[in-house]
Amino acid sequence: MAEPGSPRTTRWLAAVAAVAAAGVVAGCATVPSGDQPQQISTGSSQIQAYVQPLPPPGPKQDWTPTQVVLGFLHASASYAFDPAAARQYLAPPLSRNWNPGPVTVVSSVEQPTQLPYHPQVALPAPAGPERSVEFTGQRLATLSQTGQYQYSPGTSTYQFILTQVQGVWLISTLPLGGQSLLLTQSDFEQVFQPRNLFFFAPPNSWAVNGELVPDPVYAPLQSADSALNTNLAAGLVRGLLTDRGSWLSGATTTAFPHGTKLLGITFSGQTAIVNLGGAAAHTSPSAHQAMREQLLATLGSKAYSTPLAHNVDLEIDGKMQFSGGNGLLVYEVQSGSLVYQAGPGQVNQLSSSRSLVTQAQVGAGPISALAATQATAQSPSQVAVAAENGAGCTLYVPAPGSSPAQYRSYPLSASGGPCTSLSWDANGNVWAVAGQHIWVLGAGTRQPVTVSGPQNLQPAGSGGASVLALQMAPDGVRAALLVRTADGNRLMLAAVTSSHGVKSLGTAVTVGTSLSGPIALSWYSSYDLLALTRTGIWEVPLTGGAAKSLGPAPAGAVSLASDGSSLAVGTSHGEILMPSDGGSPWSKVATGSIPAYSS
Amino acid sequence: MKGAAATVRASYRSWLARPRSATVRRLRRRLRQVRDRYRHSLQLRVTTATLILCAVVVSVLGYILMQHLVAGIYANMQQTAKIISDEGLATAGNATDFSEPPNPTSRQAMWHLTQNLASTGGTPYAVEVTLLPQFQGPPVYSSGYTVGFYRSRPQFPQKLISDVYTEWKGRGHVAQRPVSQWASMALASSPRPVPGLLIGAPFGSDYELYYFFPLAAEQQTIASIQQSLLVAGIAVVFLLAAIAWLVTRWVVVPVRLAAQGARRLSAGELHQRMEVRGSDELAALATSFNEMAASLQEKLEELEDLSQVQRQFVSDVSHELRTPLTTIRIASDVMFGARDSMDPAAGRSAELMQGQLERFESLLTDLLEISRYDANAATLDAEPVDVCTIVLQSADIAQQLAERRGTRIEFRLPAEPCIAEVDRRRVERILRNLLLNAVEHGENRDTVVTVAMDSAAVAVSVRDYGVGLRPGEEQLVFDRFWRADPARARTSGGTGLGLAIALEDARLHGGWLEAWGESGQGSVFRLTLPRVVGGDLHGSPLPLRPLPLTAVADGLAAGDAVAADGTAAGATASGSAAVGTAAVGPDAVADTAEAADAAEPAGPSGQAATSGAASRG
Repeated sequence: MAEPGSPRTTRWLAAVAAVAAAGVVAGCATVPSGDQPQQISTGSSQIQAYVQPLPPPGPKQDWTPTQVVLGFLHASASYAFDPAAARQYLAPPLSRNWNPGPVTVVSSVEQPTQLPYHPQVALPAPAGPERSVEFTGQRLATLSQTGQYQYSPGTSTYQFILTQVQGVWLISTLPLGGQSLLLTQSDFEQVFQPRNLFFFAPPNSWAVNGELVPDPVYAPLQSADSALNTNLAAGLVRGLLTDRGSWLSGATTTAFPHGTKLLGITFSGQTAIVNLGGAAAHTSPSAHQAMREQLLATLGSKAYSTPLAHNVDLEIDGKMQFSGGNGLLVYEVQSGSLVYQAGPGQVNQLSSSRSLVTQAQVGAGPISALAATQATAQSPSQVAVAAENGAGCTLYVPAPGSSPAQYRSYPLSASGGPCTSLSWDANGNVWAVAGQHIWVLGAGTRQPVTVSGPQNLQPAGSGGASVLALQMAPDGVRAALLVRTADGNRLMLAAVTSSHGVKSLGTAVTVGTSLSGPIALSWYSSYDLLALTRTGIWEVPLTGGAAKSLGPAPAGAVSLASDGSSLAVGTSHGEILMPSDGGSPWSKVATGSIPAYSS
Repeated sequence: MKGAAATVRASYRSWLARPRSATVRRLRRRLRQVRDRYRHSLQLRVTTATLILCAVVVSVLGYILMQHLVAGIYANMQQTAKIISDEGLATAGNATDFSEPPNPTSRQAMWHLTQNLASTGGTPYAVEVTLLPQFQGPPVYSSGYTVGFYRSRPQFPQKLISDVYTEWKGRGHVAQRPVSQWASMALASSPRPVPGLLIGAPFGSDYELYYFFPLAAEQQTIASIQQSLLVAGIAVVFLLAAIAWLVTRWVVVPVRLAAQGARRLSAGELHQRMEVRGSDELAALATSFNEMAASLQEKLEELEDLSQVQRQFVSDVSHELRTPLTTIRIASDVMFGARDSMDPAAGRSAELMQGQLERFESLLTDLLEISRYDANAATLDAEPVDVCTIVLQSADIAQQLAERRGTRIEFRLPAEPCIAEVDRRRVERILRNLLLNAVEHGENRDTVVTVAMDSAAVAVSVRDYGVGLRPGEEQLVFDRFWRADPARARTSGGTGLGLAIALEDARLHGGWLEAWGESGQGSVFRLTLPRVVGGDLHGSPLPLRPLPLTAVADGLAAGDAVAADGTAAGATASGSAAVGTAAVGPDAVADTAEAADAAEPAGPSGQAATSGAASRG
């Protein structure tokens, strides 16, 4: 060891002093005072919490039976958070046994009527006086236990029987046998959240780079123990695992084998860790990857609500299988060019800058419907045309790959009435509605064939419904229908199933129930439709929820087209209008009719 | 109180005395080692004191700093919370839905307000919008809404609720102010309650708004700061201790070197010097040490030279004197032989001359002998002999003297031979000297000679009951030419060098010659020799200092009074230590002798002087 005073010691001390001085100076210079601009990562790491109702008050002695019934209806909205809140409005036997099932949604509760109760059937004399409270409400829909919103319009009368218990009026009998939870629309929207479950579209299915199709559901914002999304996410995953018998069943496939169990789901920041067991443990790694894709699409969907997760880690029986995030393989409406009928048999195509790109003469008669495909590297954009031929309509479809387009004609069965819509799906099939029938010209087939269904629509001519228009979703699975019913036009959705090469449409569900008299529709995105009514243009969610107005329609609007980012309206005056940024909301882009976007 | 204290002490002693496990014993041994090291190391004491003081100072400073930081962090958090809550209150207050008494649309308005006020992720917090309890029934039927809390039933402190209610009651008269309180609540992101700040205020006509701001982020910051301060504090404390160790070492090492040098110097390494560096106090210490060592070396060398010259002079003179002495002796012998024919005065002179010549010759012989020792020229001619035999052979002259005085010499010899490798001539000389001294100074009392042996050594002790030795004379008795009482007549003749020569003879064997005595109690001279040449002595088979003994054990002289040690001179030996009786080994010695002397360490003790193989200057 160096001795004090030695040159070596002096050098060591000098070195230590220099280092210490440098450290002090450096320590003082840590406050940043200038730098280059840098990208900031966005997105909150905070777990999403949602609004919960506080426990509502219970009935009191000074409440009238009507007030008790109204209080019960509002307390029912807290059922998922606080089941006891609604039960406190029920008389003892009923409060113990009440286990409501599906949710019935009513648009409003008109002023209830309180009446003395006179039972029709002789019952044991009640212990005290009884009252009957009735109200009439506009029934909107029922929500199945699997979360599907099913339109079931109508007016219903709901009767509550109340009896006094220790001076407080309590409900002893519920309407609908007490099997349903009765909620007003506003309450329903507070406690249920629209979400999507994702399944694979055929024909590829999940085994060969399949793509995903959304199935909208309403998920309850549970529960009393946590205002977080963990339970919501668990409910969605269980929805993926359960065969729900929805309108998409049979038309889509799933990577989750029957018997798959959800062992647990946790969140780590923006990542959901899903642990599956049961039958999932006996499948292949490619199946696991497909499961993760479905989970990621379901939990990460931004449609309707904030995504629950940005990444999904899949565990099988607790062992990590896949992690990280990939692009969602969801069909989306693609931006395209606008085509329209410029004159009898003449089709023009505009570019995105609204300049004329092509002109084509297709057929001789007036065109009643148009559909166009996107241009690809292999083939240019193709336009299918339906033209009137006096007895019905003829379908003109270009031969695949022909340039310039070599059209082939396909007369559709003369059942009266022109083609009212054409649609091209991603599989190259051309769908047409003509003479109240649905036709499909399959890619590579020679003749168009009729498509049966939807199963729940009574055939036209017997007072039932008739399909006016059909627009296929890009996935080729979902069809948006404009249906004429005895109650007026309605928007519906149905899924295309295929059995032994024969296509059919499954059960149709109603969407946009709040709209009155839609006259045209178009796909706006994979999750929404655009609907044209006399009064305006509406964005209609596929969940069945309320439509959102996008603004008034131009005068004389009779047709509508959209590619998700642009919108074109055809008027009865022979104009093609698009929204403008100027003083007038609409500007004319062309003279013609039947606008359509390539898809 | 005293009884209790005594009980506590007794309990403590019994706890101390109880058997300990091996682990506890090891631990205590370690603690003793540490304690000893602490006592002996200045460096360790300084470093330990620095460590403790630094720890105290750093702890106090750290605590003060933490308090300031925590206060600042909480103040910051409160300010942020106030800004957010004020904004929320302004939003709520400006909404027209809440200015009117509650109605059926208030429910939806509360829901929308709650959603609008929800945290968007920047600063996490929870919100509750609620109706006052008296308005929660018809027509609203709602209590309100929350967002961010774990449960839909957050339990606020009653004090806060009543304070907010008090503010509500004063509406219209005074400005409604928010009320805040620290509380713990469970959040959506944290099922377990976390501490935070609750802020509540009335708004509108009949509504209340509550915010809860968790302290999770602040707690994390504080914990992080605490951890950093702790690590830094510990590092500072140990660094300072290390620096103290280092700096102390700079001072202690030279002192240690000086101590080592002094030890070597005292051990005879006169060339030992310290290295001088610099010109500070340590350099001055080294310089002074070196000067002292040089001076000592010079003086010692001078003394050595003088001693050498003196020894040489004695040797030379002794040799030179021998030649004329031989001539004088011959002439004296002639004259002594013809003394009868001389006149009485001449004859007497011849007798005196003969006697003095004999004495002079003896002196010269002794001087020559002692000079050989001084010149380190003495050699040991050792051979295995029976020491008991030597003892008996050495006693001839002493026995004659004893008979003349009417005393006797009692021999207590072991039954077995005491074989040891010794120089017969030298041992005889030692014993002869001891015996003659014992008889001469024995005051006409018996002398007891005891021989004992163990595995490593053989010892002979000569005990007399005469004048004894005064305190301090046990050391002086071995000095050259020293006499206990210069006025006493020397009837046996002596040069004053006998014991000095005996001492050198004992040392030559690697043994000890020790003396003990008390005035009036007699004295003991003990010779202890290793049984093999070169063997180390660690003890003696015989005790040096006698304990009070029974008259039978020591042998009483007939008619003599019993001395203080229980013995009497001239007693006929009737004990177990008579001539020829066995007294072999230290156990036998312990039966007859003195436990205190048996426990005597190898070396000087008390009044006994040990003249073993100690180094001399």
